[in-house]
This record gives sequence, structure tokens and C-alpha cells, in this order.
Amino acid sequence: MIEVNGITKNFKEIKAVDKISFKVSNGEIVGLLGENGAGKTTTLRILATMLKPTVGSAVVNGKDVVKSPQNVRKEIGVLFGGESGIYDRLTARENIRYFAELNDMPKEKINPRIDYLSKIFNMGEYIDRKAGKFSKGMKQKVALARSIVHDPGVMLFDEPTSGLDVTAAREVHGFIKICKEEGKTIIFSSHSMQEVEKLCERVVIIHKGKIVEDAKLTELRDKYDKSLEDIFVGLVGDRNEL
Amino acid sequence: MNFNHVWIVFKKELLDLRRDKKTWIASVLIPILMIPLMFFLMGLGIGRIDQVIEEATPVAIESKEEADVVKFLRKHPGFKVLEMQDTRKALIEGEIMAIIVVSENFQNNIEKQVAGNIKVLFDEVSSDSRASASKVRNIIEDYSESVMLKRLTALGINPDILQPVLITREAYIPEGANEKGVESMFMLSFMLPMFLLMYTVTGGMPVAIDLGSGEKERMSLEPLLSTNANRLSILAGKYLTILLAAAVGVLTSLFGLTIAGKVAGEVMPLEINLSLLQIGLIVVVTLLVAMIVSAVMLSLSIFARSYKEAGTYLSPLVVVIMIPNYIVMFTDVRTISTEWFLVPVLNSILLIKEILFGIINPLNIFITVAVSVILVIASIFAAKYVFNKESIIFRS
Repeated sequence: MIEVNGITKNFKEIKAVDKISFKVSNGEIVGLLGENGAGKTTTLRILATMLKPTVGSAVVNGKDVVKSPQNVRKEIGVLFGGESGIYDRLTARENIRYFAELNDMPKEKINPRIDYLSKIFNMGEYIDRKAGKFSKGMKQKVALARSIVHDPGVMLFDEPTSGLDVTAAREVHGFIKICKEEGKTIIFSSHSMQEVEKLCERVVIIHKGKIVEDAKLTELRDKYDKSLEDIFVGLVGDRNEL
Repeated sequence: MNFNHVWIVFKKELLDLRRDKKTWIASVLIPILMIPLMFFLMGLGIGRIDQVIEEATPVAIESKEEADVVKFLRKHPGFKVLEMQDTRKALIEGEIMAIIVVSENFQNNIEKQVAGNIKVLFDEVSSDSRASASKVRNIIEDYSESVMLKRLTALGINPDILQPVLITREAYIPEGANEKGVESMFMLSFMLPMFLLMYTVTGGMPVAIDLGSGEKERMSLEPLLSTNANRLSILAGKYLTILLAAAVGVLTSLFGLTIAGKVAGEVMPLEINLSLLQIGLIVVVTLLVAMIVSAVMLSLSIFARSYKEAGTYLSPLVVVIMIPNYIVMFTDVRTISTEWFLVPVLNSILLIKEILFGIINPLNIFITVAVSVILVIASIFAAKYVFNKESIIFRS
């Protein structure tokens, strides 16, 4: 369960997010939609305890992100898109193991878990190879495996398929569906409306730091009678003109 | 701080470092190869000057008469007198090393017991020519002295009358110490502090850049910060890695210096004998400087947005750390006042010099260690502050 209560984050004179509030129930996948610079990554960084909110609070599985950040980090797995942040001189396995150890996984469980993730993401061929010469897709899969190696209950994915080819993106989608079946709570930030429609039950549309819509996909379709993309463009475009 | 997390970060960084060829080249290979090579080349240069002095130097003589001094110079085994039209051109082109210009009526003046003038022309740009000019001057002075002795003898005066006092200048060598060892120690007191401090910077710098701004540039810092490890543990693991790299840099530079002593003993004589106490104190002092430098480098690297920016911030540290070395290069450690030991880094250099000369001054040791420990704590706190500051971590 994630609860965001009136969070504002200022970077000097810039208000990155402005009094946003939303909830994500256990086992729910929520799509966080917004243009570049809308405040999606800032919101996820606050939930991942990397940034402190200027005003407001957020709670992840009952733990406050400001008061007990380390307890929050035990509950979450985070993947930021763009560059995957993999260590080139380490093998895929060593990259994943590093994060497993830092997340206090029992030693005897680490290798079986890496083998499981390697199978899920089809990384068997290169799991013991150094990551330096991996393609972007291979690296992103390692990054994804690394972020969830400790089997967290809450997952924060910031554009996890950014730059991936269709096959790699499908593997990621497949994994997110498995997570959903396992009852994980997921916030999934993306530019891709199709991806969000495919994976999420609910969307939170954020624009210029403010939430402009928060509803189930079915409710949105009933309300606007349009595709998600048209709804998004309508909401964001209208406000850009203001 | 969770020591298990510190160890995990440290272990990972070491593994990463072990596979990084650039770091190996910068921290290990270059000091081991470059230092002996540098001293070897210096030795070649010094050897060449000696050779110039020992060999028959090509010179030209400009004289309108065949005076005795000219005959003396022609016969002297130290010279090869060449006849040529344009002596100035020959000097500039390096065919001859000096021109000896004997004034008119030189012989006549000598006979009349009036001073005769000789001018020695040399090429200021050429070190060989400079060395040769000194040689010419010494030989002509020998000739001048022989003329003076003849004159005194002719007057029936004992030449010793001109030298009522004979001065012997001799360095005092303490009992048990050998002459070569004292000479080595003097050389080492210049070189060792410089090398020790310089290699704390150059040894740790590539690692500091990779572990701070490198994490930012490859976007691995955010995933790392989202793990269960707290920031202090991550910082401590990184700090220890940089410190280890700095220590490796220092050790390899010392190894390089030892090889230099073997391949270029005339430039870097290393016939030294340090006690365990001296070695231990030098290690502690150097380690404290390495701890300060490592924390400063980590802070700057975390502050930087990219590898390039970190390089810009960190490179001047090599020069900065050398400044105290230059300030105290010719300072006499036997007479220096205690206040100097309050100046950070500079105190470490002075203390290493003192220790090398066998001066174990407890007050100076205490002040240096205390000042350094305060600075170590301050620099680690600065690194912690930088690593906890959102606006720095997410600076873009």
C-alpha cells in the first residue's frame, strides 16, 4: 500500500510537484503518466526516499518515507529508466548479487533467486559475462532483475522499457504481469499509453507537478469516451493552452 | 553505519577496481616505471656533464701572439684547440664549447707584472658550453697561480705567506652512521615527502573520480541509494576503497624509488637505515594525509556532475599538495619552530624530514598527528555532508 498525502517538492524557485495526493492499494498496478518534467520522477524519488518532500508525507506499507527511510527501502524495488546504471566491469550475476547483498538477502537465497530471474528474463546466455559489451536491452534486463532481486512487495518503475526493442519490452511486460499475479504493488511511470493500457488498472496523470486525473481505466473510458492517448492529450493539451 | 554494508561496497569496488586496467596503469605501472626512468635519465644528464668535463674540450683561442698562456692551453690535455675562421658561428653551432680571447700585449703585460686579460666566451643556451666555460676558467686560474708562484719564488718569498690560515670544511657524521647514508638521507629528505604526498593524490584520484562522479554519470547512484544500505555505509565503503588506492599509489611509488636507487644510485643514493619506529611514524603520518586527501577527493568527485568535471576539480590537487613541499624544501628541520607544525599537510612534510634525520620530537609528533586527525574528521564530515545533500546528489 502506498499513500501520498499532499506532497510538494521545491527545487529553489521551481515547484517540481505541487500538493499531490494518491493511493495505491496492495496488488494494484498504477500507471503514472505525464510529459517530460511533469514531476513523475520526482514523485518516485520521494517514494524511494532519495528526496525529502518540502511539504506533505508519503507512506509505503505503513512506513513513512521521511521518518523511517531505511524501513521504506526494505519494502521497495526501484528501477529508473534511461541509462540502466549497470557496472560494466562486473558480470550480470555480480551486478545483481551486489544489490541482493546490499538489500540483506540471506546468502543461500541469492544464487537461486538470480537463477530464477535469469530464466524469467532469458539472461542465461550472458548472466556470467561482463556487462560492458551488453546491448541496451540486455543491460536494462539486468537492471530490472537487480531492482527486484530481494523480492520487494512494492515496485517503482520509472520508464522501465525506455530504449528497449519490442522483444525485450515484452519480456519486461511479462515480468510485470507475473508480479501482479504475485500481488505486488506497482507504480509504473511511462510515456507509452499502449503500455499503460496493457499493464495498469488505474492511471494517475500528472501535469506541471499537479495531478489532473486519477481514475481507473474503465472509468476514464466511460467518462471521456476516448482512447487513453486522446484523454491524455486532451487533459495535458488543455492545460498547456491555459 | 552498517559494517556489513560497508564491507559489501568495499568488496565490490575492489573487484571493479581489480578489473580496471586504467587504474592499474595510473596507480601501479606508471610509478614503478616512471620513477626509475626519471632518475635514470637524470643520471644520464649528470653523467654527460661529467663526461664533458673529463674529455678534451674543443675550444678556439683568439690571440694575436703566441703567449705562454696560449702555449700552455694548447698543450693542456683538457683541451682540443681547433683553428677556424668564424669562431662565433662555431660556438653557436656547438662545434666548439668556448672561445678563449687573449688580450693584446698579454705576454708583455705578464712580463711587466701587469694583469693580462683573458675573456672566456660561452654559449649560454648550451649546458655543455656552460660546464666547459667553468673548466676553462679553472685551468686558467691554475696557470695564473703557477705564474704567481714563480714571481714569489723569484722574489725569495715563501708562497705560504699568502695563505696564513688553512680551512678544512667537513660534515660531521654521527658515530655509527656512514657518510653515504647521511648523503642519502639528505637527498631522501627532499624526495620522500614529495613522493609520498603526491602519490596519495595520484594513486587515489582515478578511483575517486570513478566512485563519485562515475556513479552519477553511469546513473548507478540512484539504484544504489534505493537499497537497504544507508548513505553513510555506502560512503564509508567508497572512502576505504579510495584510501586503499592512495596507499597502493604510495607503496608503488616507494617501490619505484627503491628501483631508482638501484638503477641510478649516483642520483638517488639509497644507502639508508631506518629504524622500525622511524618507518612506523612515516607510515602513520602519510596515512593521515592520505585519509584527508581521500575524503577531499571523494567530496569533490561527488559534487561534480560528470567524470570530466571531476577531473577538472581534482587535477589541481596534485599542484596544491606540492605547494607545502616547495615551501619547506630548504627549511632546516633542526632549527624550525614548533608553530610550523600547526599548519596542516606542511607539518606532515616537516615531520617526515625530521624523522628521516633521526629527530624524534614528541611535541612535534603530537601536534602533527592531532592537527591531522582533526582534519581527517573534518574532511570525512564534509564528504558525508556532500553525500547527504539532495541538491548535490541530483545536481544536473
